[in-house]
Amino acid sequence: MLFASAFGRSLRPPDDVDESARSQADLEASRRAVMLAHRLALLDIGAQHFRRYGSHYNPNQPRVPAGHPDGGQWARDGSRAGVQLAAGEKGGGSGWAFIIGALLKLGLELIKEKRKGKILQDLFGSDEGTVAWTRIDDNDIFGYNSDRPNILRKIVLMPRRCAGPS
Amino acid sequence: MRKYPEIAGIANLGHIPKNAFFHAETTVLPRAAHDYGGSLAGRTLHVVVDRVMCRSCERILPKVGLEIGNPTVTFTDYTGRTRTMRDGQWLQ
Repeated sequence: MLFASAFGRSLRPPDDVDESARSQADLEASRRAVMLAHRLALLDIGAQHFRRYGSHYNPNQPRVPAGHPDGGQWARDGSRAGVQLAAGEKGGGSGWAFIIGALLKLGLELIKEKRKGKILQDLFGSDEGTVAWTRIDDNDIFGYNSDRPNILRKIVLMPRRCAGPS
Repeated sequence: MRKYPEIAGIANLGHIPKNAFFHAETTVLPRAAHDYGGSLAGRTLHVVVDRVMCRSCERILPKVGLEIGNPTVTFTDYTGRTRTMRDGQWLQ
């Protein structure tokens, strides 16, 4: 009893700390599991895209890294300072970088094609605004910066008003 | 938007961060959800954007994700930077 009263309080905090650390570790492990599942799903998405479009992505092609004025642009050679191979970009491994790089290149090519349809171009044909692309079940879906986000209003901002009986 | 007091207090839709509701990376998600009955629950998406993501989108997008069924979405901007969101927050 004396031992408990003398040491009980001093022993409890380390238990709490252990439990807290364990919870943190569990959270981190679950987060990693989610990310792993997500990356596997992205691999599948990438495989589907490449089956349909083929890929011109070359992991050995040099690319200007983020932070440079022309960051993200493909470079003809790697002699410029800061230029790195596409496959060596951040993302946690060359496989991940390969998939992201290939999806990025495919997406940017599709966005470029979409822009050619006079969407989001000024009078002189220069690109303006932003275009986003995603793909679900073989359907290409584009998003644009807009002054009338009607679908957003319908789904997110006022779902109840729109979900009434038809 | 009443569910998210951190953005509900800003009255004008054109002000930061609500201006993100007009940005391409935000409009593409409800557009996709609309095509699939209003929900992307359980899906994994990869979104490519030809500009860099702004701060407003960083704040708004996770909330929009929750409203369309909480899909796991990775955004890649034209520089190759990737960010993944789920459960109303950024995982990476």
